[in-house]
Amino acid sequence: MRNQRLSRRTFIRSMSATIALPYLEAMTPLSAASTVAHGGIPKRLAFLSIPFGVTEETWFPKTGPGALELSEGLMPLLRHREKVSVISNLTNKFLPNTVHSGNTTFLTCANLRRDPKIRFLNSVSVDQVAAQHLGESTRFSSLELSARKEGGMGPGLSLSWDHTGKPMPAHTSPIEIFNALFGSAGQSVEQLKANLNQKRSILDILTDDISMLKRYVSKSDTERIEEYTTTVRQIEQKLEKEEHWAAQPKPTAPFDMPSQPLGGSEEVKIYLDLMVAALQTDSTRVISYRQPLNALIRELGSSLGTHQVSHYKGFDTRTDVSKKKDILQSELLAYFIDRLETTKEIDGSSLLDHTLVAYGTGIRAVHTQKDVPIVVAGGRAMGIKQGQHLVYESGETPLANLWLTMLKAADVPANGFADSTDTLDAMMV
Amino acid sequence: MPSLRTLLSTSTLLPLLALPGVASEGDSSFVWYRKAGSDAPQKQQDIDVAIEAPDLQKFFGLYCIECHGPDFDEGDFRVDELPNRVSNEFELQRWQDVYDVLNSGYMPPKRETQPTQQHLLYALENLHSFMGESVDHLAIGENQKLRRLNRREYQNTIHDLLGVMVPMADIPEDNAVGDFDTNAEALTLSPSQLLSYLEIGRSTLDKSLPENFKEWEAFFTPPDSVVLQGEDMRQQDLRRNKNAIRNMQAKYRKVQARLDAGATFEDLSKEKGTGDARSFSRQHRVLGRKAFNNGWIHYDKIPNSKTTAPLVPVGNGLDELNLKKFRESPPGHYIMKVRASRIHRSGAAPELVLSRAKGVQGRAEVTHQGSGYGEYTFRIYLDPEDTRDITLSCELPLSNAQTSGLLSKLSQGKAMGIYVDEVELVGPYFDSQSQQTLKSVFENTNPFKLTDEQARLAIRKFASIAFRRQPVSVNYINELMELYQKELTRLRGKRKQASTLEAMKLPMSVILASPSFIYLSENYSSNWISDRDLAVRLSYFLWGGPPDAELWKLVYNETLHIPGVLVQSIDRMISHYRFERFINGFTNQWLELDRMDILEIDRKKYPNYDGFTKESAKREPQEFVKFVFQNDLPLTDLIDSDYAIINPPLARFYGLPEPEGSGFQQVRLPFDSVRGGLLTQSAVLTLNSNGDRPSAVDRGAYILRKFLDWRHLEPPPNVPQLAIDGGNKIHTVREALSLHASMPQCMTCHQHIDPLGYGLENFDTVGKWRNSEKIVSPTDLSQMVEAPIDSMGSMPGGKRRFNGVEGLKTELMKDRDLLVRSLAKSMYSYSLGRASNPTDGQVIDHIVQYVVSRNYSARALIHAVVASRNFQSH
Repeated sequence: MRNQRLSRRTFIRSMSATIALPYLEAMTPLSAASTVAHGGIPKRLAFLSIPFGVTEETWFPKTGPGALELSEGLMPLLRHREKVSVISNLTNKFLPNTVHSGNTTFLTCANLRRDPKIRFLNSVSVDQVAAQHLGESTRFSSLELSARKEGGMGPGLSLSWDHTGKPMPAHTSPIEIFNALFGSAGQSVEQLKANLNQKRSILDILTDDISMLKRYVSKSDTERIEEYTTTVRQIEQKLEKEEHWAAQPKPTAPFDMPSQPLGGSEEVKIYLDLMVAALQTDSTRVISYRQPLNALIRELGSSLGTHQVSHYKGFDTRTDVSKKKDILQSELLAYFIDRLETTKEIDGSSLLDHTLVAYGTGIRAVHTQKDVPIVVAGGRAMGIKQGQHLVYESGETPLANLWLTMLKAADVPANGFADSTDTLDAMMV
Repeated sequence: MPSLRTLLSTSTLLPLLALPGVASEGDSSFVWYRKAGSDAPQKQQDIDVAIEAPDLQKFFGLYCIECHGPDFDEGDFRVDELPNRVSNEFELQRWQDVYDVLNSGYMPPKRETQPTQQHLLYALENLHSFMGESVDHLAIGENQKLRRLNRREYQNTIHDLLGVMVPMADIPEDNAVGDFDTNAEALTLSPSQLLSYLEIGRSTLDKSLPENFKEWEAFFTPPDSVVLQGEDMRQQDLRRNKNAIRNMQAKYRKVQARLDAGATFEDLSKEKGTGDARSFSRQHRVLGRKAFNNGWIHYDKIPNSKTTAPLVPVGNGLDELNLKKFRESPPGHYIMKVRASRIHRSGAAPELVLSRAKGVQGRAEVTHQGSGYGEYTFRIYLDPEDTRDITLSCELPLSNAQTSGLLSKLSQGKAMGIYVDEVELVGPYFDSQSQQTLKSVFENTNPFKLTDEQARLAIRKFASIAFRRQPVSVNYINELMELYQKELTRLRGKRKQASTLEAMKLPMSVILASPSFIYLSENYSSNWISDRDLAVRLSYFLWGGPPDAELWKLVYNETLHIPGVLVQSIDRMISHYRFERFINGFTNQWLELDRMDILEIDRKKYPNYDGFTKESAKREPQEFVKFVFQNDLPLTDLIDSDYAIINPPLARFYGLPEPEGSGFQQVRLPFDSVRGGLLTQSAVLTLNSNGDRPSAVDRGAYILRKFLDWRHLEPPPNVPQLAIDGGNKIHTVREALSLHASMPQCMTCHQHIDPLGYGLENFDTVGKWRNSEKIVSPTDLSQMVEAPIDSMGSMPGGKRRFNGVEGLKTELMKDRDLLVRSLAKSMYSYSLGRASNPTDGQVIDHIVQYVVSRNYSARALIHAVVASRNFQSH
């Protein structure tokens, strides 16, 4: 029995080597402190999205290219004008399946229909490519956060899609995130290890059933079986990582456990606080957060649906709400930048300088899916030049170029990402 | 007499589908695909997926070729080199580019000759339908074989297996792609999902398995009944509230005495240490209200207050009854019978509401009066771990002004509300199927003291049942057994008396996360599916869960595939209470009813559209469709019917005669009623609105999709939105939409959509009849015009003009085969877990023909889907 088990595991490992799965090097993580000692202050990436698009007339800067002059919809960022840039006219060449799927391919730039046999096939998102590299030495390779699913987001469980193009589930409750980051299971290291071992033997049994299934299902089912095997392997890798970190106590939380979610911008702020806390304690270096909209519109005292607001053109009340929600969303981004800025690294520099933030969505306005709204913030210690309005030729520059630029800024070895053609050199110092 | 099966195998003719009691001989309208000994149908690999591209060379010749042709291949793009036949995504993309630049007006460039409206419309129409068709065409896939259980099916399957209802919120969310939650493509598996299957399995077993032998025996005894008397429960509340009132009055009087003696709020607040006079005075006022304007003071003036629990909606908890005792009941399904009557004789009928915390679980309108109590029944699932309050409360459909008068009425002995005489809780009712599981798993054993042999047998049996009778490998059982033994040793190391059943939970939870459980796997030994696979497909199609004992018996006898037996089984399943899951699964998704949940109805404009009306309205189409299937009525009833399935609040909402009793019932429609069918139901009209005003566009598109079998018309990307009612002109909806005709880019679709929607213009946002439309000026809100409704419309393409909803229904009735087709495709796709595609065309044709030949019988549709080639083969 034992031998067989070992051989199966060896088999899985060797297989994962051939198809180059993520986390392979994650088997030997370094502690956060030693990484800092070895490689200096870590570089981080954060990705924020909003559902649907923006009020294009008042969101995009009126001047440019050149020094950033903020427009009405971005005015709350005024105090950060030197730390943010707006990038106009980046485009995802491939359209998501509907005109209202703002977040489905935002971070993947995938052609969802590239395989004629499959109607919906996404590919890996940029944060996961980054996590493969930046996640080696942190407790969590990456964090995926999301508000409850709502209109304007499109298919997906978060902004993140794994290396096989599967949707990655998100943490959808602040308490859950807090517990993952800072909560202790109240177990001794031995108990924890015993639990992990039990889980491992359970995974072995689950895979045994797979071999039975393989015997009688058809060849075309092997993909699904492969998926199950991959999932088991991913769990094994997760357990491996957990084991490495078992002896390492979790960091102390910089604030108390959040209370029950309040909804609206207060709740968004709790998520943003948790993101800052996760980066600050070096629990992870890559985070994606799919933000809500519906609750924000309620907060503005409007009973309009988010879809109605997205079709604001020609309706006075809708345009009014659409503009107001742009501003509220920008206020939240400004809040996030505040928090990153006031959080200091060991050397006294700010967390913001070591974190490159991207904010936007895959829809410009209404049904327009090209020239999408993008704000980047921070990352000055990563070679990013801020305070600019970069303007590319309409519809011509892939959004993937931005993601490639961000990967490079974070020292992730990548030659290309999705349909990227180049890096956005103007972003760099 | 030869068995049916021999008949099938010896017959040279294709055997026909037999309906019970109907001779199948001679009925050639439907082909029963499955022939014993015949080969499986052709697989789709052989089918050429290439599709003809539209011929637009004339258009290109006029407007494009000069720059994008042999002379100048601007941007490396030549229109004369576009592929004539498209067989892959990359070729299609080149056409998509053409479509996009024409749609967005980006090409031809403004300085060049612009196409005429007519030419552009022609090109766009062709491109639009070509794009839509090729997406379907290129997406030709095989039947998905291995499909993961979706959330809904997982919940049902666990329930049928172990009798525990896992809260939906605890089950990981599925990705939503496509029209139905059964779509295999979307049902991927993530690490955290697999881990939560292990966890949910474990906690379910903790709830489901008995803790000791006594409980184990009790598990098989009949349900218990607990009766609570209304007055007993109320006396406690009354004492508590009277005490509280006494204390509050004393406190108030003390302060008041000081005030009367000349003290100021300033003084008093300083004494208290706060010095905040304003907040002190406010608190004092509030206290005074609570102490003297409190319904409980007048409690004894309610006529039957000594013998019942009166619920009077005047606040301070007098409107509700907390059923604390019931919270401790063992987990399971219960029936709660409430003996109740209305207190007031005239005026609005009160509603009895059963809630968990704030969430409404059930409502009933109380029609019995005084001492003539009626019995109002609710179904409820209880679990002692669920600590939410269980309350009965009273709601009155009154305006705010009327509600504020209730307290003074109460003080005059004229209380309005509900008497609750007694509440009986009967249960738990274990699902007989789940009871059966545990009975057979631990047959002839004491599960708390299993021998190793018994444990091994129990593990094997449980795996076999959980895997829906798929084979289980010896190796797998060995490993589970090893896990069990280790767990038993571990538990006994901690606590000597730990039971074998406690240790069984671990291997059993592993079974509930194994691939054979979470995937609907099938056995590929032959081309036609086995009876076992057929039973599983059938039960997940119609019950969203595993087969029951009855179906397994037919599998065991190898008779399920025989047409007569199969049809009988389908009919049994449709009549079964579990068919409700088909309604919650298929009907909800087909009618897109969940869109109602995210819609905010403007209550200022529609004050009568309260919570109960909305709940009832959402329920109506489900009850209606269920009625049509369970009574095997013609599917054309979905277009128009001479009855409605409604409850009393909906009857009042529609102005129809009220049905007797409180639930949904069939009501014959008066001759001149505008109702009947699906399209005039409040839910369908509401969900195709903006919440503040109706949407002719949404309604038209909905009719196209559901009734006329059109593809979902996605708005094309990158087309600028028209500024519909901008400026200061006052437009009716029709006038605003007529702008669509001004741009070929819009007209392509909207010429088909909008005129259909006009037919329903007489219905307001929530579906009430209106003869005129109120239009407010966008710039001056005080300026309002009342415009008469114009409900002239036409079928797609401006053909067959009609007037109003009656005209619309008449036209839809002429095209009724399209409704059958749309339903057939959807049901087919729901049952197979994949979208239907052009290669299914022939199968869909056969299904439609059969249903038509059966006079549009609703059940015939389900029979034909099940009998179809792809349902019967791998």
